[in-house]
Amino acid sequence: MGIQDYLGLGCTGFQRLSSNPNFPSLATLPVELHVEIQSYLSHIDIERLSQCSKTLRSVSLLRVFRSARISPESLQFFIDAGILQRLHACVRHITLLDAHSITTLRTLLTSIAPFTRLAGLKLTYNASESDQSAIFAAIFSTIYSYPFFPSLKHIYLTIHQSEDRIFAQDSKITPEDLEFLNLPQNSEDGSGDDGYKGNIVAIPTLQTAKLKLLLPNALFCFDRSPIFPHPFPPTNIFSLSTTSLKTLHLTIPDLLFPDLIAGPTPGVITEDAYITHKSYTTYPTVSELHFTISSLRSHHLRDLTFRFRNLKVFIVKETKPGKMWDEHLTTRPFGDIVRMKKLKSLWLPWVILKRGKAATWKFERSVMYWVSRGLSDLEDICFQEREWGGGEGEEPKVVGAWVLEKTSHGNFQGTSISG
Amino acid sequence: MSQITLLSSDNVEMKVDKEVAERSILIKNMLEDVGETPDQAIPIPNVNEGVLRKVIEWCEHHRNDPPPPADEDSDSRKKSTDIEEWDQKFMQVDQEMLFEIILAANYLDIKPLLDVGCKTVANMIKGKSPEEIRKTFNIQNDFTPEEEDQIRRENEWAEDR
Repeated sequence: MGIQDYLGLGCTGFQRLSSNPNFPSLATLPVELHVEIQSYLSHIDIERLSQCSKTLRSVSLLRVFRSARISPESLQFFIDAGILQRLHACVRHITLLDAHSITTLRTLLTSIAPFTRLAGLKLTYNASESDQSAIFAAIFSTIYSYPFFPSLKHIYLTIHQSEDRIFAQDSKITPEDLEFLNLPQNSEDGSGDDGYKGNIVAIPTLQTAKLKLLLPNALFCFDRSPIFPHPFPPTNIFSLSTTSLKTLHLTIPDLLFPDLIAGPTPGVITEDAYITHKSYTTYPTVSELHFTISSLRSHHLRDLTFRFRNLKVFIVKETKPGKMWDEHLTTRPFGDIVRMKKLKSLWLPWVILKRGKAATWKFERSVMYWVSRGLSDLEDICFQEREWGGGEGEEPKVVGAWVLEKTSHGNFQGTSISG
Repeated sequence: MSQITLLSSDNVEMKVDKEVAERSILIKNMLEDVGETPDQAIPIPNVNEGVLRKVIEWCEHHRNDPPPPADEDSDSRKKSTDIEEWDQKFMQVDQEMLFEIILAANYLDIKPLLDVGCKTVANMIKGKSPEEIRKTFNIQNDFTPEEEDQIRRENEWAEDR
């Protein structure tokens, strides 16, 4: 190749937008340089830039609408303005608004199908009493029964109900819960209705999922059981994403494993039951789990260790901290954590130490026990320390918060992060 | 130190150290592909003498810079617009020259110079109203008042993230 040919290759950089190629200016820069300049600007600056002229509008539309709010109103507006088709190629993130009914929700979800570059979807839905049972069918089946999200990587769903109702404190199923969970069933021949199908197309590109379900009295279980035909998290969402899903945020009021699910002890999954019960879903690619629950119980932790064995980061939070958890630290519930062999970072909501015992040394010892049982990658553990005298009705008292970090000698050293 | 000759679009020859010229990835790749140092002048079409001198001045000053870190995710959030002092002074030129430098840096593939140029333009846009931006860059407002209103309403559906 000659020098001339070589230099000719670079000439595409000189394509100009204006008819006056002799005087370069902001308006005449090639699009790729606008993209470059805009990478240094905040959203508000790009918005203002887009209001300057038609050319600048055109070259900044991609960034202005990288993230859009979609509602029936905005869709109609985009159609009237004649820019909907252009936006289909621009928008990377959508927040769905004003989905006040299941019908609107379905329509909106279907209408975002042509946004082919969509990487993130955020949806908040306020469920009313009457449409509870159709929520999942509407959301999950509509999203996943169309393979129209070829690039979706992040999904963030929040479903809540009026906040004046109080979550069930007790792990008992009430008739109301059963009614709530009476979701559309698959029909015998598998074709089903438009409800919650078993063969729903999942998203093979999904990397992050944030699911926030704040439904009072909605007690979910992780897998199928005779009472709960629809698992949470819905297996259908992740059935293909199990090879791509890396980060999972789950926020739920409570988790329940009813008597019928498996194993001899109500609410507890045994290893045998786990192995024999093929329908349990595991998430081998998930390395980070943020788990928020109203009140953590030992069987929750136990169950999670079965499903998320490859976790590196495990963060547990409680919204309504339970007050009785005085288990021996080296046994359940903490003992089960040794299943997560790759764990590096662990944030527990709290650890109760009985009054009169030296503060962290006992917990440090149990951490060393985990390490000796195979948690060799463990580097830091964060927890709140509470003291409890063991008396009936006595509230545990918060003593402090600690970080345990691995030293160069392989021991763990506690640092107070209180106050 | 071997030297090469560059030929501007207006046919002015300039001798530069090979090391300096190789700040341009286009020239660097070309020299590597051609093999030996060419004895004839390398034409740089579309870059005139004034701009080429300016670009060479930048390359001279930055001849010993370490290679830039690998490209970050292009979709990532807003980048910093900090510019080092020498570059700030270097970029104190009229707008025509500023955009000529940006175009030349893009063509010659001198990423760090392109970055400095784009940051300079970004800093001129930052915090300004549409009207102020138009004034700064001498941009003709080709929207009707109705269209302006329409654009504002369209933008209301965009989200910052």
